[in-house]
Amino acid sequence: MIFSKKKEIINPYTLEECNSCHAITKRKFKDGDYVFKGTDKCGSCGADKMMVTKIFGEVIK
Amino acid sequence: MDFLGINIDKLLNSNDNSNPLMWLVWIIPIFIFMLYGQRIQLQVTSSEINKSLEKLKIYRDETRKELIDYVKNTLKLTEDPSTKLDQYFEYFTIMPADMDPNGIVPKIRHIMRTREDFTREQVKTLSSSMSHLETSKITNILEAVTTLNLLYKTVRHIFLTAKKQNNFPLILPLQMMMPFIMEEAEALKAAVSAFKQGQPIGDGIGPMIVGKMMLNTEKRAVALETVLSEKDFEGRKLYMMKAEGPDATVGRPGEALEKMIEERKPDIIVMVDAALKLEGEDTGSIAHGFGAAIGGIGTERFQIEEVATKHKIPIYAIVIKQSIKEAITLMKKEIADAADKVASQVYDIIKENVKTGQSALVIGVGNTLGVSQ
Repeated sequence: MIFSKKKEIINPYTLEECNSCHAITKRKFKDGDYVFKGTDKCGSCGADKMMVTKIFGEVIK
Repeated sequence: MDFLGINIDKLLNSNDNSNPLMWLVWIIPIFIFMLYGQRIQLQVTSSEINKSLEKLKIYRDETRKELIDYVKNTLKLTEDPSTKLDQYFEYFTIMPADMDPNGIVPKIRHIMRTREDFTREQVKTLSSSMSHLETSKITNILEAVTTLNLLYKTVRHIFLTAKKQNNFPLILPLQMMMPFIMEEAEALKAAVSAFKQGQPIGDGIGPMIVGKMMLNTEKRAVALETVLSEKDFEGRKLYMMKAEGPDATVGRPGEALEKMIEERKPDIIVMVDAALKLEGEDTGSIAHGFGAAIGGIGTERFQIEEVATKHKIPIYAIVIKQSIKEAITLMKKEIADAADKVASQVYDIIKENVKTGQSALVIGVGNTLGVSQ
């Protein structure tokens, strides 16, 4: 069919940013995540200032 | 060919205008379509609508089951909440009489607030240990199921009435509206998953932008589920307002603005909201405009416009375009990526329109589920 719709599968991801070294990490969304939540230690600089900056869905192609 | 004395070639000879069988072949269908054309079309259209109706029923039943399972598992209930929840799905709202529309908005606001407050209180009675976040999530899922239930029942009513009365003109507008109804129904069904997991939805882009501006400032509640904070920005005072996250709420920006104006009057208001895109527009595209950018039934917009007009405060609007489905399901990357660009545009509007020493109010409009501040 010309107008048939493809079913999209969307995966949720969480983006974290270190407030100290500004390193950005992307991981799968976990229950309890919310935007601007303070999270784990930074893997790059070890600072205790990681924060969730974005939660979004990406379409699997 | 000559079978049983009938010459088929001669009988079906289309060049011979006097052939009676060929006349019948043309005339009978014309008469059938003249007499029964509408009924045939009704049958074809009915079968299409029936398929969509079945889908609507499945959506309603699945979301209902999802809500009941979610309530049972999250609140660890010992007794079955189905009976209580089923009662909520049937709630209706009677809009005020509009024969004399003067003063109708406060009446609508009163009725809608009564419904909201009552639903919230009823949801709270499901468990005494329920958190505010859970209450807001369940209330939102309940709203989605109730809307799906209403859509299903309305479509079924028109469909059955049209069939009962063989009323083709009645089924035509339904056929035209079905794609829009199904789009909304699919969006509502998909929304339940985001609400259950507490994920930000497309509509939350406004609160997300203002929430970021509010970081490291002191927040105070200014109306129900609405917070306000302030900071200095290049010699100007900046007030920021949004619904209190990460709960699934839109807050009460109209009431909050009215209260805030009593204490201090901003020189401009900038409203950031999600807006429905037109077909062909890109998801996450940004548009600027004037006026109160806020959806819903219209009471909040009315209140904001009233206050702004009374105090002669200009209202600027920035909207982030998305489809209805994208607005109520997990925020897409394209929408989330627009956040930083919009924030810098908000600051530009303030720099251009607010002089040093003056103040601006930025309102992040939308459902703040999964977005703190």
